[in-house]
Amino acid sequence: MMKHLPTASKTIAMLLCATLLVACSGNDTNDAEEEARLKAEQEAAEAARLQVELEAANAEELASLEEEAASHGTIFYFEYDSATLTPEALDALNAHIALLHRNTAAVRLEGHTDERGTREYNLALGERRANAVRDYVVANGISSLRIETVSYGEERPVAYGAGDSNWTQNRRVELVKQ
Amino acid sequence: MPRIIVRPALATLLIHGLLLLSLTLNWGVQDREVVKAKPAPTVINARLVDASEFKPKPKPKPVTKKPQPKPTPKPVVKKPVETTKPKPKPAVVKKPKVAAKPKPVPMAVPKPQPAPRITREELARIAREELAATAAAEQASATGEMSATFVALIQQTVINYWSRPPSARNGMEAELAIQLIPTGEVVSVTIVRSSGNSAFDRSAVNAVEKAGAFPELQTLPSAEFERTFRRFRLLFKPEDLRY
Amino acid sequence: MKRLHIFLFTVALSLMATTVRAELTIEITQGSDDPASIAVVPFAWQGSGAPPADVAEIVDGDLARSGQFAPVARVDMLGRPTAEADVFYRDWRAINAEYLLIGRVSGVNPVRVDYELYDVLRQTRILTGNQSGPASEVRMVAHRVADAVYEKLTGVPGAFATKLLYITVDRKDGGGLSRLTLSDSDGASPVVLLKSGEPLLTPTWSPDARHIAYVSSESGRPAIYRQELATGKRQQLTNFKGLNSSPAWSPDGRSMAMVLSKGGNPDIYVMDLASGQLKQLTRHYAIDTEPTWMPDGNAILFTSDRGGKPQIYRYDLRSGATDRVTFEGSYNARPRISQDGRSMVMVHRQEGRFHIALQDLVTNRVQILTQTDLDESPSIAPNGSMVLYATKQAGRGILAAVAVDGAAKFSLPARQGDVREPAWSPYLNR
Repeated sequence: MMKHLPTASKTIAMLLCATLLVACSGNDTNDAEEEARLKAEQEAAEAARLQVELEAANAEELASLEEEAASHGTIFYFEYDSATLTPEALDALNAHIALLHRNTAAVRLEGHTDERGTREYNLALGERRANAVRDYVVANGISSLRIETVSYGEERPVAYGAGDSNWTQNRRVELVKQ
Repeated sequence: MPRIIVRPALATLLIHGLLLLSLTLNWGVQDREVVKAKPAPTVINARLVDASEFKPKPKPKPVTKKPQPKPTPKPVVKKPVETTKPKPKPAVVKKPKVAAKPKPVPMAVPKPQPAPRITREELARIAREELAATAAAEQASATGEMSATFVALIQQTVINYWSRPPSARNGMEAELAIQLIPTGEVVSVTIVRSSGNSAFDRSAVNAVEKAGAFPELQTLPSAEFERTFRRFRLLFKPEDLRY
Repeated sequence: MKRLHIFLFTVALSLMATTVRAELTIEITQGSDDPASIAVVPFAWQGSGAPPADVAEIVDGDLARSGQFAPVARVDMLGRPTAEADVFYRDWRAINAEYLLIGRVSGVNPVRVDYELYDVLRQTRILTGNQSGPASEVRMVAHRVADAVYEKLTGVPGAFATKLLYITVDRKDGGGLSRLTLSDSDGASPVVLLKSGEPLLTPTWSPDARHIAYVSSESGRPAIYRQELATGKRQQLTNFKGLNSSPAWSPDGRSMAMVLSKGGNPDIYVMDLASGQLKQLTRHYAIDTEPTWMPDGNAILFTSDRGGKPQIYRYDLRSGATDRVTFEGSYNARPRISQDGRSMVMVHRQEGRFHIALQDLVTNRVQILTQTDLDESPSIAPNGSMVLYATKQAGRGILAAVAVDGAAKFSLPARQGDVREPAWSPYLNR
């Protein structure tokens, strides 16, 4: 019978068959699309989850940095007549610098001296100590625009009275969050 | 004119003229004997110290009395030694001045005073007595030496009473003419040469007026007194002021 | 012939006798400098009502504090003359008084004081005078009497009719209340000029005593303020980054030296007060601070640690040269110069203790004036006779004074809180 049909009809028949096939296979494509969509959703959810985890990790890190910094305290001490950072002060500062890299806080550094010597010279010495701290922090990558320094000289002691135990407590720079 | 009169007349005139000349000429100028003030022996109140008396120091210091070219006085020398005025010489100027008189000072300066101290007035009195005793002992020997001791006594006494005003300066000079009577009492004080500073002049006059008398001179032989001490001069010329 | 020989021999002998007449001059080159005893008899009050003040007591106190005089106690006085007719020298000779001051107070407002001063030893009157003033300033009138007596007897003008500036601090946790206070030279009649919760430093006087300047941290950082005494009007003179401190008026009153660290480290600057123009004097990475002028206005002395530790240097304003001035001890700071330009007082550390010392700028000899510890802020009286300074007593800040020759000492009556930073005024309206 096939030999009796003209070519055109064969083509149409084929086309019709093809269309039929395509129509049939239409159900498979929807499945694929569906699959892809699901996949994307899954990936998004995964990403969101990761994001939350990341933020949590960040917050945890921040918290641990803050804890680390806090454990060193915000007061850095100095030797008599000196504005050189001691090893303890450097350790403490490193912790604060790490924290400052992570946040956007601005800080004020307040310089102090013990009561010995003249007041104006001590005002300048207090500034020199505050500047020493500032310079170290800036050298380690924190913008100087975030740092303010002020000196109180010998005018704001934490411990009144003569003697080394009092004087040692007063030779300091205090870091104050703005 | 008879020759027999001329020669004796001339001789008389010559002799009288020479006599008058010798009495009226001011021989004094060339012969003034200036007695420089020998540095009056500084009288100090000293006590032999024992190393065990010292408060524990952070750095142990040697207990040697070094001469004082260094500016840092050792605490050893500071505590027990008190110099009476006249002031110590320049080498010792770096010592903190310890108030010699017990003044009503409200300062709570925690300096433990070593027990029995002789006051400066007593020290001066003792020094004066010693000089008088020396003079008396010298009576037997040459009167020259005795005079020297009395000069020292007068010097010492006047120094003791002389309080210089703040405007006094080294090199200022006030010369006073003093008259005594044989009892040693001062009967006249006059300024023969002013320093130009009335407070300075007044301080010099007051020093003598406060002294008032040198009764120790009574032991001096009358001739010596007349020759040296009835009238004399005092030249006030400070050398120990800061400037 | 033999008689002639006898004659000539006698003449020669008598000549010899008269020529050997040497006059002794004894040199007196030292003294003992005891205070002169002076009796200040209570002055008569010739007005009605209560007397305005015990003028004699004020004069007595002034003369005693100077260290030059030892006043006679009233209980020892054998008489109480108030006029010349009542003066009997023997009464005063008997108690070894060298000088006698008597007087009378009259008038209500103004009040007037007439006085006479006698030399007891010479038995003569050496000074007559009078002073007047508003009743509210009777203490100042008494101080002027003391000045006149002091000048007559010492040759140096008195500095009793002057004022003091100082700062008192009440301690409080985390800070303290500071009061800038003005008082008489004996500490009487205190007046608070300024109160602040932030530190106050370095009060200083203008040469005409009409203005003062000081450092205040009220704006958040140290800045220099000028204040007119009569009106209380204030003006902030500086507002630079970093330190603005240590003001010091030039002797001609036209400039002010100060310390600014806007250039990165504290340096000495001079500001022309009329124009506000600044001139930088020191350019060194060390701390340069505490400037003070030489009285001739040609140089400024200041503290610098350019050599490692604080020492005092001189900056010559004409040549621009800087020379070191102090070489004794490892810490010398806060210079002040006497009006004759010869004596410098400073804070000098020895064996760990901080004293006030005096350096003679001609001989460079250094003399320690105080035996107290933790001494600071010396200020010289305008007549150069006394040095006022701050020190600690029983843990509290007090003011004390010492005579420049180191002999006399006294401390000012204790105030509430810690007292510090004294500044002696120049002579007032002479």
